[in-house]
Amino acid sequence: MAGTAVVSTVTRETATPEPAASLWSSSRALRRVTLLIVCLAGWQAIALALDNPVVPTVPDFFAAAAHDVTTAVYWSSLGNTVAGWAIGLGIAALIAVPLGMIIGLSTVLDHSTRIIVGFLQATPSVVLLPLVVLVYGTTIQMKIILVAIAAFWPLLIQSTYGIREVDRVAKETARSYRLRRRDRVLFLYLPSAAAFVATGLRLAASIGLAVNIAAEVLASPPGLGQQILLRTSNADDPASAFVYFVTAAVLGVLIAGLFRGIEQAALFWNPAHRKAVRKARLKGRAS
Amino acid sequence: MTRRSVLRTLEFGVPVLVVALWWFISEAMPPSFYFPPLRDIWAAFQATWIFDGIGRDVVPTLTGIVLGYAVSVIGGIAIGVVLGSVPALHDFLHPVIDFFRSLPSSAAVPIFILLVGVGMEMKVAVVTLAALWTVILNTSEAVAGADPVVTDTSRSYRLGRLDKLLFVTLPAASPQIVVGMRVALNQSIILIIVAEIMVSTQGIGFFLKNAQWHFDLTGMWSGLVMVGIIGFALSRLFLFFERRVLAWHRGLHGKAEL
Repeated sequence: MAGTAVVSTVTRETATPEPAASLWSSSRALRRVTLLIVCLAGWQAIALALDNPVVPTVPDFFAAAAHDVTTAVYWSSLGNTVAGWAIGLGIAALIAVPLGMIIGLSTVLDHSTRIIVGFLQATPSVVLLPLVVLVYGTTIQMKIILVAIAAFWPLLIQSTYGIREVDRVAKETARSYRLRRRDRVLFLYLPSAAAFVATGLRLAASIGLAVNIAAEVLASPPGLGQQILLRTSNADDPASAFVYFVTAAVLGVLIAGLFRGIEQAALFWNPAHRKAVRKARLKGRAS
Repeated sequence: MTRRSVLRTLEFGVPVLVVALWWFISEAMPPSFYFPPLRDIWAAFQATWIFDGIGRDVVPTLTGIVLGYAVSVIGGIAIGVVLGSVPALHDFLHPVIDFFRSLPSSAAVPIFILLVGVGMEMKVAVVTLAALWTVILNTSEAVAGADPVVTDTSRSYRLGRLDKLLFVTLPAASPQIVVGMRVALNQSIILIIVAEIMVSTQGIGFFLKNAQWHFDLTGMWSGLVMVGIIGFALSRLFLFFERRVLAWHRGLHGKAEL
């Protein structure tokens, strides 16, 4: 298996000894730069084809962006969005993770809450927006509450899974050694569940951001979404609406990357993942 | 009673108990504007949703979800299979697809409204933007990561391209595709509600917005219950579909590892 794969690559490389091809396959930076150029060209083509000011051409976009980033509104909107998201996510994590772990520890609690959690989790939290707006107005509290509710369910469910999936042998070993409850929690349950909680955090972070921006777009408390709404509805500065949209997109990508990194770090503890990684490395070496 | 039947009873008994508690506590409490008694919510629910509201608001919402979701799943699997079969292309385009998957789609709704208008097309476009990329990435990663033994075996047996796709590639990739489809379904539901609250003349999102304008809290709560029922029904339906499609996988691995 491994033999054939290696042989075939060798023959392919000797058959086509193009230096450009090998530079292409070896240089990640070259591929990324090419991709960036392709994307910008595609964007320019789409903007020209649409001929709608809300999707500006690349030069128009950068002109608008150069102006927007010097304004105070830009940075305060970004700050407001990040603050609403971070506080909401933090509140959700503080409540949902311990609660999820307690539910995971008890079979009775797990079964008792299953349908309720399934029902509430399947209800998208944006539907609460009209209600929360009536109660809190268009304030940052309104955003925080919606983000916290949206982020709550993935965190709760993953924390419950995490505790339930603790290795049975490890659990029984801990019991045989008569480890105290506190030590069992600290040295067995928490490290084992860490990977699941990190997955929950990653899901919660991106859902939380989407709901946060949805709240800003719909009810316009200060934030990136509010600026997108204002600048598209006034239509006197549509290129700038797109600048705020791209900012929100980049923020989403950065947050996703950050939490994927946290997840990778937490996965280090997970034996199933270690096995999978080892397998993948072996497979990678073979091909 | 056996342990199993006790757990079964709890699973269904506790939710009933919670609803009963809500009913009696909301009845006993002094009347609250924001949190009306469950009795009133139930009366409003019957008046609104059985069955006039189903055709007026539920059907448009579900139509938008189904159309956008179908475009995302069919298009996403097709694009994902192509990308996954050409590893160089997959590696090259991965960052762009990941970018579109990670961006908060709700930020695009005002821009889509200006581009596509406020009708059903806009809802479908928004749902597709939210759901497509996850399906593409899950499919392409699963196809690219196919077991080389299986790939080589199907080559040895000289399977035709179509046979290989239908009987080898797609089944092998299906567990991961289904995971992507589940995430995509949740995102579709969120985004259609956002689009409907923002601009629409029908749909559940519109109903909720309308209730907010008229300070009709009881009506709004009945809408929330309706959305809960729809969301729960869709997720159960998906679970049923998942069990059917992946029955072989569960059999092979002893349990669902999804």
